[in-house]
Amino acid sequence: MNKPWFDSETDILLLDEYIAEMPSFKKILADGVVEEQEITEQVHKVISLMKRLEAMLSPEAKDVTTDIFCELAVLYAIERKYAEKLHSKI
Amino acid sequence: MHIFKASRFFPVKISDLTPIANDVMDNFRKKGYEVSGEQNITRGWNISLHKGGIFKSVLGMKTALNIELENTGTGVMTKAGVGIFGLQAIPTVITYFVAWPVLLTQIWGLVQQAKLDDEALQCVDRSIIAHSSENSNSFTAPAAGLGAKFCVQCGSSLQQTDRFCPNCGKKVE
Repeated sequence: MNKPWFDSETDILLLDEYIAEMPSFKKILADGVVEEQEITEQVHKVISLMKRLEAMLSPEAKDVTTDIFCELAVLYAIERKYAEKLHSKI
Repeated sequence: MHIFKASRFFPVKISDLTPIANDVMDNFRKKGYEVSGEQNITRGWNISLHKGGIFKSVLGMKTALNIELENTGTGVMTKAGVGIFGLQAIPTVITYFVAWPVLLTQIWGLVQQAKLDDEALQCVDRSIIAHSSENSNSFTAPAAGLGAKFCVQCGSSLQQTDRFCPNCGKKVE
């Protein structure tokens, strides 16, 4: 199964639609409760997938993938900081 | 909605924003938008507009152009930005989604491409002018009339000679 990352017409990111269909996400939405065990399991899933990916990638693709992980984390952090600043003005 | 992307201040005193909100909602309903609106506790209005093609659902929740009308005492502040349909606060589950800033920016890009934010603000503008001329009891034009100056930050009335706003201190440009 080859899932596109972007909508071919609008170019909008589609990742959230895949997330919405994941059993682990549906469970969180259903009961609204997150247990420590669930976080641990999710961490193990992420690490396992990252290791699988790392083994598949060429050095060049690995550099790009590392950049994506890092830049996405930076974007998330600065957006949260910006939202905090706006929220503090209210 | 914690991130507003467009705003405009209308220096006209209006006691009831309901006719303005109804005009905005009617305008977009006629154009096929799904529209929701409700008065908030400060007697302002929160309006949501959604239409397929411009707005996508994020994590199963419909995004929308959310418009806020607030009476500031010196005029009407109108703000427009991308949010969740019918909700003023973006649900935590979405704000925690690491790619949410990407989606927010992309959806805002489509809104700007469609000039939807401009259209919403212009619609408020037209409605205020129309209602100002037909009902002088509910709408009070600025006492100083045309050419009056107002602070772009807080909306306070300014003297022609003011270099800084006497209320908030913002430099007058």
